[in-house]
Amino acid sequence: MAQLKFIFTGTPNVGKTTAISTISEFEPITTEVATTDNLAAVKSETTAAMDYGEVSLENGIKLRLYGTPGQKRFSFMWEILTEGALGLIILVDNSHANPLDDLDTYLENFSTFIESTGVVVGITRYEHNPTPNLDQYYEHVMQKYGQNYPIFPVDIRKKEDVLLLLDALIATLEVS
Amino acid sequence: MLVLQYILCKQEVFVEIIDDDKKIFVNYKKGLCFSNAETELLSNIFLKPVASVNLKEVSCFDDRIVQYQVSKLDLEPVLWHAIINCHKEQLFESISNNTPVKLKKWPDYKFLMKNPNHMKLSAILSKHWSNAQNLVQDTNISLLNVNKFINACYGLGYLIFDESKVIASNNNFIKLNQKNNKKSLFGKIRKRLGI
Repeated sequence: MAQLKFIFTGTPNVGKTTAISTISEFEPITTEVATTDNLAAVKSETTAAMDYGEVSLENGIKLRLYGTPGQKRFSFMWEILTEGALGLIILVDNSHANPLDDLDTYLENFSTFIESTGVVVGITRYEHNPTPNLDQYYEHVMQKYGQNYPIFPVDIRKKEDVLLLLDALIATLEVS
Repeated sequence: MLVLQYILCKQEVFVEIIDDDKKIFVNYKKGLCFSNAETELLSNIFLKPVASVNLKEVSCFDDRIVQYQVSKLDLEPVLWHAIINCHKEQLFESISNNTPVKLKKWPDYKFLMKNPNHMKLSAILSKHWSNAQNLVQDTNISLLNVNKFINACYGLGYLIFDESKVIASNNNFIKLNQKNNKKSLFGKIRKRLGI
């Protein structure tokens, strides 16, 4: 049986740790290091290995929530973390210059995992950065990958928005 | 014809609807909706027959918006709410219970009312072509509720249909995954997270 774990990935500073903290029973365990690249201007620390949160189910079963490092130089962790996981949540920051390229980075790097499981996409900071819009995301994903993944604008600080992503992901996983 | 059907049929035009003291100004194409009524009441008015309200087409409604001091509302949630609550099984002539349909994008559930059936149907129709009859068999959701969902998705532009698509009968999309015990696990996760 697969482990009960979901993976949160996405660009640095997109809110992966925050997303996990909204539903985890404890503050996420993080492995942060000082930021030394361009990101230092907006974030003093960044995840180097993983974030970890947890939700207890019945009979001692744990739902494990892992956040990957966002930066490509830590991508060796991506494969390790996805081993045996149920599905993937990709977070994309719409205030970035090329959010569709950011999405491609994660859809391509996690393609093997996505094919055997499922994925949902959350677009953050959408309200004040409405371009590209939802239709453009859907068109892009359909044209490039021939898929119709669930994509939602989200405020990752809100529990109901994180639950919406998980709800859609689980619904997708329940369908063959 | 219902007000709702009128709005969806005449997407280009500016429509003014007056029902007692409630005033509504809609242009579907531009996604505009102004009213002095709340979403739920607005949805109820959309479900009334055209003949029972004062409905007319206008060239624009800029001056009326100022005159009546109506507020701007998001049209999509109002239409969605109205269609999901409409008990008419077939709202649109172009789609029958046998028409193959598929989602071209997921309904934006951040802003639209949803229930577990909507999620289930969205997941199936985002991956597979199906029709109302087959969806009833595959999901055990009633035909009325399947049709409400299909109508809402069609009305809001989330759905495509193609009579030439062949649908395998008894796909049982949901049951396939029950074999490996995952369904009960997902059930536990949903229960614990309250989704």
